[in-house]
Amino acid sequence: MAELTKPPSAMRQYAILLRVGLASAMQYRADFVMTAVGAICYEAVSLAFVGVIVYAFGSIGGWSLVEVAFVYGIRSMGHALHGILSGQLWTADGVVRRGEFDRYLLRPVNPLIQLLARRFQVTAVGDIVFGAVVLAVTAVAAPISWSLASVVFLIAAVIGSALVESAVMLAIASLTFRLLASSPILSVADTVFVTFGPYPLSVLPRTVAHLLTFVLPLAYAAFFPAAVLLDRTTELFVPTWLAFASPVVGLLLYAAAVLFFHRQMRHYSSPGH
Amino acid sequence: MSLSVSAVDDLPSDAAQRPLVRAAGLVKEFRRVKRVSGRLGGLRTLFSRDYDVIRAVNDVSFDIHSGELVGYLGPNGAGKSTTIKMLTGILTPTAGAVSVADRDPSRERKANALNIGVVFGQRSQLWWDLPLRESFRAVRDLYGVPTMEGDRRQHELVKLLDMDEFLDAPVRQLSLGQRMRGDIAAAMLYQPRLLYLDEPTVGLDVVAKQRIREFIAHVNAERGTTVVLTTHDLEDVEQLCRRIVLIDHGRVLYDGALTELMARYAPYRDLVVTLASPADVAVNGAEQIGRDGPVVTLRFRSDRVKAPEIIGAVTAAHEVVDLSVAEPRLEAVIGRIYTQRGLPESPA
Ligand SMILES: Nc1ncnc2c1ncn2[C@@H]1O[C@H](COP(=O)(O)OP(=O)(O)OP(=O)(O)O)[C@@H](O)[C@H]1O
Ligand SMILES: [Mg+2]
Repeated sequence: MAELTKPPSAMRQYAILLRVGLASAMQYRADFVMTAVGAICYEAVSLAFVGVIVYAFGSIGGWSLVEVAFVYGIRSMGHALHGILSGQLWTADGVVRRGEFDRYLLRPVNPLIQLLARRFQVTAVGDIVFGAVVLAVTAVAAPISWSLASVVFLIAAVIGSALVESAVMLAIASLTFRLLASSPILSVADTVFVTFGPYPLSVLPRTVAHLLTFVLPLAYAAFFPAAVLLDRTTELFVPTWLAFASPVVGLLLYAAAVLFFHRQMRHYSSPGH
Repeated sequence: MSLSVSAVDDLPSDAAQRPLVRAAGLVKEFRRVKRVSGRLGGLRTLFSRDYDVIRAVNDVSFDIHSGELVGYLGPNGAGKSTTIKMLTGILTPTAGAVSVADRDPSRERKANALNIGVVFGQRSQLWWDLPLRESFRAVRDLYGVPTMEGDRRQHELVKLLDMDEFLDAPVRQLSLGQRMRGDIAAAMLYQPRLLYLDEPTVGLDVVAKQRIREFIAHVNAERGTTVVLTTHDLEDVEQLCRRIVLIDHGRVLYDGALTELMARYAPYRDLVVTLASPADVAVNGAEQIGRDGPVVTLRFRSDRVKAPEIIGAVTAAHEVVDLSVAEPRLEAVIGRIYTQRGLPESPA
């Protein structure tokens, strides 16, 4: 009889867990709506802030308002997808410290999938709507003559943008197994992504730009792909092919972060009880 | 031809004899970083490489065969939960080896997960915000239990554990006893061969405890589910376990039949007599261990003298109003082992 029991594929299990996570979130309906609305307001404020800065200075390092807005659009949508995929990483330290991770190790499902699908990230719904609108508007406004190839590149770039951010956050969250705390470091990384994400990094001092390319790989998340699409690759501080490869970099970084998570998982020492 | 037949015949019996669970020289060490005090103590603690090593489990070995119901006992902090976590694959042993159905649980986690059901009394594994029914559905879907089969099992479990009333309540609203039944049912939905229960009766009232004991006895007897039970309620042990493994400080103190433990460390009976007039009682072969007015308690070695002989001697010397013979309590034996932190040198 037990032979009949066979766990479904990882994708199917992820879908099951998302269903469960959504049902859990819907238990608090008022919370659901309010958080989504709150997220949109938060994003709108940050967009207004970018607008004010560019308006005040006319342009940033030779990038016009619409061009900066386009960088922002890519980042916005990337960040929203990242929120759907990785929002639960913020709860990793609680999950590990309280021992909820025990049960992830007991089920025939990959523990990372269980962590990521722990609860449906409500704010992500607002972010997605907002991100899609901003991206569509800025992409139309930007001085780009769209072709099939450039649209495909844009989509890949947005997914890559999400993966870059998710990779960084996942790598940091993996430290939880040893440090038992990761949210302060996650906050720092998040602040860097939010603060520098929507700007053309070429205006920054070279050292900082390099740091944001090779240490905290923010450049691949919006600036490089935007430079490619806006045809401003001449002012990049890295070889052009690297800017073109941004989506691939996102994929590779995320794969590396997943491996890192599984290695760090061995250090899990379940809290006593 | 006949050779190959006999070889095939040998296989099942060989497999049957191989233990379902084998722990060999299990060790688990935890590192606890030493707190640095003084200026910036918190920050320095974070980067400190200075730590204490706690050996929670220290060279534990045992075999558990299919169909057994084993009590895994020991005082607080003995290392029971830590052992269970190694047997289930939650923790990787520092040294030694575990195999469950010929698999290493921490390496082949997914395959092992189908073989085992785990309930931690102190920590629910259900989805906090979901109705119990939805939790069951999620478990069935994640394990891939076929729908018809799952419906049948769920129906049976709901009946056995009497869960109809609260099946639609969110888990966070359940009482402890209801939640525990939910947790046990969730662990049995995919019919694992092996069930680990770590304090499944903690904090429950007598009726709820009894229901869970009956359920454990039922799945062990009717379905042949192997059970490893950790508990501080010795009533659980007396009612359910034929074999116990007793540990302390991470080491096995005793592994064997419950009756054997009692015969070895408490081979006595207590005779409680109420006398017509208060007096001390002195008879051959028994020792007076307590007196409360006219009520006198005598202890005698049941392997050396027979109860009627002692009763005869007492009634010959005193006028007796009432009497009863009491079996030694497991609690007394275990209590002595815990306080001495080791097995008694000799019986009481
Ligand atoms: N994650 C951990 N980090 C450090 N020490 C731990 C950890 N988990 C358990 N310990 C220690 O290991 C020892 C054994 O703990 P364990 O939880 O196995 O005990 P137990 O036998 O289950 O006790 P109880 O009956 O109280 O549940 C204890 O000294 C405990 O403090
Ligand atoms: Mg315990």
